[in-house]
Amino acid sequence: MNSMQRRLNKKMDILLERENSGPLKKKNLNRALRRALQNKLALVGLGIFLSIIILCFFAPLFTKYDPLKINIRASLQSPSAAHIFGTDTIGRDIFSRILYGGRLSILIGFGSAIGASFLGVVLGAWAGYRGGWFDFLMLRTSELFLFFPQIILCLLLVTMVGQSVGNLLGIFIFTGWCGIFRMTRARMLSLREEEYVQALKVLGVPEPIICYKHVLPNALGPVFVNITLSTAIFILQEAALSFMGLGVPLEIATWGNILNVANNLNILKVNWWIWLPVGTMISLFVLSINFIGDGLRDSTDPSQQG
Amino acid sequence: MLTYTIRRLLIIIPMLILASFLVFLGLELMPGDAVSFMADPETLANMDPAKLDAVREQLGLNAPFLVRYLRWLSGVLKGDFGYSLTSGVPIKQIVFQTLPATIELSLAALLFSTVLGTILGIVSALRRGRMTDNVLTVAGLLGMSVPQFFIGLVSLFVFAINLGWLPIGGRLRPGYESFIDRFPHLVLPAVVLGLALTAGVMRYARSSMLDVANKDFIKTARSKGLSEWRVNFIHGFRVAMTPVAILLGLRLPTLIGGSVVIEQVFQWPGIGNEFLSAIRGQNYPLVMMIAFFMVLATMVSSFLIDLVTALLDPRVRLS
Amino acid sequence: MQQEIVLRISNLHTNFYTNMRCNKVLKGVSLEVERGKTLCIVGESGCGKSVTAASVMRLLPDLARIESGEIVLYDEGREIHIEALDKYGKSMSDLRGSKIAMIFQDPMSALNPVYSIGFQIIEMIKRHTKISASIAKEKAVSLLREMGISSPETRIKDFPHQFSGGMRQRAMIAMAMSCEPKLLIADEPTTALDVTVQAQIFSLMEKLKKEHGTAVMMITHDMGVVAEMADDVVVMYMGYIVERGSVQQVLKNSTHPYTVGLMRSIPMIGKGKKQKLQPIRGCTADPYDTSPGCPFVTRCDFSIQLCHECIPEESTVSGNHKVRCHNPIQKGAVDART
Repeated sequence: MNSMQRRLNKKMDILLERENSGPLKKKNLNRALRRALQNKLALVGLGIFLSIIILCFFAPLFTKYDPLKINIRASLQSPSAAHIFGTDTIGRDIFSRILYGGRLSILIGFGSAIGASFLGVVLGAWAGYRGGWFDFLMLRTSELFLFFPQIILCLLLVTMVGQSVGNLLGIFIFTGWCGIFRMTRARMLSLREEEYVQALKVLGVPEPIICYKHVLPNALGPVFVNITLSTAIFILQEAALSFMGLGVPLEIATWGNILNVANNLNILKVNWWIWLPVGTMISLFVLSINFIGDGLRDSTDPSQQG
Repeated sequence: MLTYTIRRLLIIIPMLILASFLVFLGLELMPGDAVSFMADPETLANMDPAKLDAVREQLGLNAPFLVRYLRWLSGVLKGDFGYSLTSGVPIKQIVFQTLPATIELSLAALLFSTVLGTILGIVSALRRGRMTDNVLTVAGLLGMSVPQFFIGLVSLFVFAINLGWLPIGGRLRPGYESFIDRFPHLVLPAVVLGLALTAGVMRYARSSMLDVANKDFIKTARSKGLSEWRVNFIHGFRVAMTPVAILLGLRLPTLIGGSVVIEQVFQWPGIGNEFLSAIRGQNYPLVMMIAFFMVLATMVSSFLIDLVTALLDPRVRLS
Repeated sequence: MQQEIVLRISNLHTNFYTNMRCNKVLKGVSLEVERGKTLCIVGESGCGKSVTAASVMRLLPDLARIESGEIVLYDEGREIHIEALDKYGKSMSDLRGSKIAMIFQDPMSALNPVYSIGFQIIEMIKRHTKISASIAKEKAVSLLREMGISSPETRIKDFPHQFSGGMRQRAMIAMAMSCEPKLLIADEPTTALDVTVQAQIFSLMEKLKKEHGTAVMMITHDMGVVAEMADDVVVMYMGYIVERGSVQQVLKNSTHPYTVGLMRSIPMIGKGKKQKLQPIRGCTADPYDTSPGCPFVTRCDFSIQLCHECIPEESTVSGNHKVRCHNPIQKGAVDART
């Protein structure tokens, strides 16, 4: 008998004893809430997520430095009581840059995720509901987008339209809608066969109203989970583009832009405080989103129960 | 199998044509044309407009859009990809110089992430709910969450700069060009590039193995008296691999795109680095052709992965 | 004819431990299967009939185990105590397939989709015998032919999804019979099939039973199947065997109120639309319910005070006909409509 079986046997003994020792106390907690509480990772994620949001959006409460204030005399200082993460090559306080930069990075992430999801849902719902040439065209288009490495497409578009926050947001939305589109479309394909859709058609309800008001809400469950996960992806993408110097214009502080200087081997070697804290911050934030997204998916997907 | 191969090819060809059309469109939309690229701006400004037009006519630049496209396409098919704006070197030469390095890097990353991801996924599934599984699950999420270039920076800092185990960047040193010599250079970039995919493959392999473990045919295999090893690997594993192969196909564009960032971090002399410097130098013809090659690479490799999927699962090739 | 018992289960208790609870699924199951005969286990979903089969095969899920009782397989004078073997051990897996084989409800999902039918049959033959690959292949072909599959030499290379439902089940049976098991367990083998195909599968099983002397343990919820196939019947309810005996005794002379209820709820072909079906009222009790009485009491029309107080012991009606009831229905007391 192997250790696995011994462990299981022990567990079963405990349960048997508990069952035999008399009736169990009734648990009053809501089942879904209990499941959510059991998912420790999602809770930890939520904690990290909220702390970072509060730190960034109430940044003036936590730092007295202006993230854009250049102070050449205080350049490249290592972490100290005055500058807890030190200063960068032109003397800007890194901690304050991380907090203020986070605002923009998070906004770009959420903005793009919401925009891309909106576009994907609107197109996907109509394509799935109506089918026909529109569906065919959109499906092929989305396949082409999926074949194109997304970051390459973003880089191409950045060279065409130029670097700015608005452009980046637009590019992310334009390149990021396919996943949600295909997901919504697939759900709509099966939902449109439901009887109530036939009933509404017979009643003469206009097609767009049936599609968007009556059918679409039933397809949205997984989409909401996906918004969280694609926020994570967009934040990573912004960071990567800005790291290469091709995302948000360098003078604006974002997480990726702060990391841009780490392209310099000397800075990488000596001034670790410039790139290590901000990289950790991005990682923590994205990780917290992934924890939450994973927890949400587990609790909405019955096949994932264990 | 042959009909399946042909059918997959037939799907890819129109996509390629479409992609090439888009690349040409991009080239056309970029500022300037062949004439303005050939002469320096000062001479251009002083030139007689009529003469300029004659040169354009001679070069075929005034022909209808579609004709120009077809002319361009036939050139591409013959291997004439145009010239780099900054150096005047044929783009073909640049691509052939840098592409092998990128293929080497991507293949190494793909191999690494497929093998490691699959093994870890299976371990995680077989030890479900135990410490190993929990640690691997968190590690998988971490692998998906940390920006690749940041992992690159940290690993450079730790393994190359502080510990000195591996070289800091580049691909080869003069005089040391065999694969064995190159290998230490390859390790860090390939591992870092493959890390996100490893995490994805692991999560997928885990859930796929768990899914298969509940299938009736696994019960049948046990009821035949087969050993646990045979049940898990001959019957479970092979079926569980189909979705993993499909995932690999879907993630390939991300891997190839990721190589651009990783090449920049590790100064890997591949096509991605060339791409970035072309973008920074606004070297549009080169930018477009490299983008086209990257799409081509994605399509060819996902075609190959489709074939692997079909070999794994008869339902795919016979449907 | 001298009766020869192949499998004897006595007082089997099996528990499941899912959702952090202990669910007592089998609460003392005893039965015997004889050589060349069919024992049908009937009962509604969740009564424990499939768990009985899984206990015999030792294929219970990880969070379930046999608590007590005996499962004895009689093989050429040897007594093999199955419950004492390690479920992952070699001695148990040697039994599976060679002495006890099993076929499942849905032949589509029970066959591995990525291997050919031939591979799956030959794999099993090679596991339990020491014959060469080519002889194993010949054997697989002849088995498929015996099961009534035309041109088996070519079909053996086909994959499960290229077979029809009935043919898949034939292939399953061919596989199960390939090592001439003493006992064949069939878990609702025809539920997923058309009625006409059902009849073919039954006659095939009947033939095999006669020719090879295999004992069959058939799990079903269909009283029609019982009437057609069974020699002996076991009726299960909530983990108890409530009535058992020969098919004559149990169907013609039902004594447990649950069996009577089951008999009344089957439509009879030929009786037309006017026949009155009487479903058993109420629904299955909560498996975690720990009240002391008979589990059927809330749905029973014949309950007496004693039924609420304790679970009845098994008592003999006549010969092998046994019932677990405080107030069994006497012969002729009710019109059982059969």
